[in-house]
Amino acid sequence: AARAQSEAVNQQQQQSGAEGEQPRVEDVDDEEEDADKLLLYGSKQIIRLFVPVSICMLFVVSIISTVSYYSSTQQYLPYTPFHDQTDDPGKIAWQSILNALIILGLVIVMTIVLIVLYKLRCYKVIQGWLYVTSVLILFFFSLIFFGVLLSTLNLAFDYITMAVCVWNFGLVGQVAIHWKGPLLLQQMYLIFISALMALVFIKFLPEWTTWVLLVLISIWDLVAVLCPKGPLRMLVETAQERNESLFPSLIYSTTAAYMSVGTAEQPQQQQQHDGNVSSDLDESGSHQQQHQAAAQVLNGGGGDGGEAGVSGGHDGDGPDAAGAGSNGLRVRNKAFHDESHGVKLGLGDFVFYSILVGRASSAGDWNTTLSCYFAILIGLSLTLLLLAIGRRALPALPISITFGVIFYFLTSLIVSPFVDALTAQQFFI
Amino acid sequence: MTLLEFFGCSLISFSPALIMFIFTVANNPLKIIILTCSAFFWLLSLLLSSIVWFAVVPLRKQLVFSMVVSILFQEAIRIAFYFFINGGGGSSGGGGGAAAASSAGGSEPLTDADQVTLTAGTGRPVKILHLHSLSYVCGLGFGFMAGAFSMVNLLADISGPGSVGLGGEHEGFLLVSSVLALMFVFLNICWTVVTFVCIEDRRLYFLAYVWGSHLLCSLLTLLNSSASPLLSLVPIMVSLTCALIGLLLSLHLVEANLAGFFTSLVSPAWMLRVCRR
Repeated sequence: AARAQSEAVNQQQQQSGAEGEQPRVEDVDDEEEDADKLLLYGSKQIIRLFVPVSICMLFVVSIISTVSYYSSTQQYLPYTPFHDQTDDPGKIAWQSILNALIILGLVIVMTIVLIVLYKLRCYKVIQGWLYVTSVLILFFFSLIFFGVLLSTLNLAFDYITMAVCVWNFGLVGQVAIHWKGPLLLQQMYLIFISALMALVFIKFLPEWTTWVLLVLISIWDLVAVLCPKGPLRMLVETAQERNESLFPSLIYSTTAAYMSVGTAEQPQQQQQHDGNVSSDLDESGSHQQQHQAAAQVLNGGGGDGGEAGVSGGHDGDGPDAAGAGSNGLRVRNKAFHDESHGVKLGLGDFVFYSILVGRASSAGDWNTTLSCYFAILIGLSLTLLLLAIGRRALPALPISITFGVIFYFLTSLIVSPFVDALTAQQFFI
Repeated sequence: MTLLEFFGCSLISFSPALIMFIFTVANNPLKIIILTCSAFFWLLSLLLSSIVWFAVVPLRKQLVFSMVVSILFQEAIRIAFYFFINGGGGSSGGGGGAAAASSAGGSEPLTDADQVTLTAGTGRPVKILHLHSLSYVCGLGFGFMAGAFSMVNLLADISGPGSVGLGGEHEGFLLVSSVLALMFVFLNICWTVVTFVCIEDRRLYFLAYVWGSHLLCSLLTLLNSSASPLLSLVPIMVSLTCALIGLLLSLHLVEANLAGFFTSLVSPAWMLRVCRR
């Protein structure tokens, strides 16, 4: 189908070329119109990601500021053994660095295990692992969340009703995420579990460990996705070689992930992978899996910029993969009307963005929260821009997290005192 | 009581901006991105001015100095944003103006004439958004951020227990703050439109109005510090006047039909145009 399209376009172009000098302006017109459409299309995709990311962050921030359970850290995970309450900066520094390194090590181990399993085609094992983790989140963490929410709102609720509600909630979530369901429902559940994971992390990680961890994870993301021997890059390439999709449910997708257009290559494999994905997010380890998929943001990452051949294999990328060479823009115009390819962002990115903003808001200063939010949004737009230019798997974390962390510290240390001094006396600038 | 006050004050400050966002910006993804960008740039200007405030230790208590510095930085960033967005000559890609034939920004009453200045001869690309709607969106971003930074902590404090004077101030404290935030949102829109159109048309003398009124409105808020609430009426009224003058000036500069503009604000046709989208 893709090849046929590009041939038709070739003919079109030859025809228009044969008309002589007059179409020169029209050519410029068309080029500009194409670039215009591209810009509009690109910005549409960016907004499609802004919305869920903002919703997730808003959810996390509102829960942190109202439910005291998540903003108080009394217990710690066994992965962060160093958590003395001390004011000595040196001690805080080495403790948080060690904690973060331990967690990062865990992440790396998990990623490697995942890749080994994937390479050995142990899809059932991966599937089972993802199922178990999503059950954990959708049932147990949700139960705790609802319990704490109810106690904050001071509502009385009996166990039986609670059991029925959580059972239904969790089961529908499982179905929506791992199997078929309305797209909106799936998206809502994915946002919910990302927010829940972020809340859990904010609760259980000591403060400075969070910041060091964020920095280290984004460096790891950068390395893993971009280096030639990086695990996530290998994962993406293996998936591309086998023409398989890459855990569609670990990814937030703005269009239905199960389009069969262009993925007719290996329907059986496709079937398998339909169920394969999930929103695992048990430990930070699995967040990494989403970054590979974070790669497939915007026009389906690897499939794009390829030749007019059938590259298929990626959810809903079929028509888009035809965007090749000189005919690229033209063909893509046709693909625009399809809307069958959406933007995909890994759930791990949601989690880490929300962790950053949630941690920023737990300090109580809303100026900081606001500036971190905008910094992350700008980082996300830049990443998507780079993706549109680079057309390959890109990590979504580094730029946003860098901006976010820089702005957090700058705002909380320098801007906030200034602004507070101004607003206390109602001076406006 | 406290939540009521919270919603009241937040709506005083932000509902016009919110409505403007919903009706003119929300349906165009490119505008939303530009809005975010401009809000970020305002944040940058605030960052720069805070660094100056932080660095000049002896003058930390004298907020006048840092206010003036902040105003200068804001205006500089406004001008810088113009060049950033317009790519200094229309190079395509990213934040600059990519080529386009149609107008994407005809959604507010101001831009009746969506001119397409296609320079096919030189092959130079053309703006995808008309400059007027671009400047309006930027102004909205600047204004929103400016208002947000002055209001958001206040609003958070209000939603907790106990308000009225919020720490020993007079009872009109919150109202004054909210109204001034509202004023500054409008003012920022007007200033940005005037600035962008001025630079585009090279009529730089109108920039004097922008700089002058910004300094005036901002420094008049120094009067707020006294315990007498009535004195706060001065900055509010002056800001209102400046906003109205700014509105008329920007309308004049974009060559909009004034009568048409005001009737379009209340006429059903405008509503129909919005609803049709």
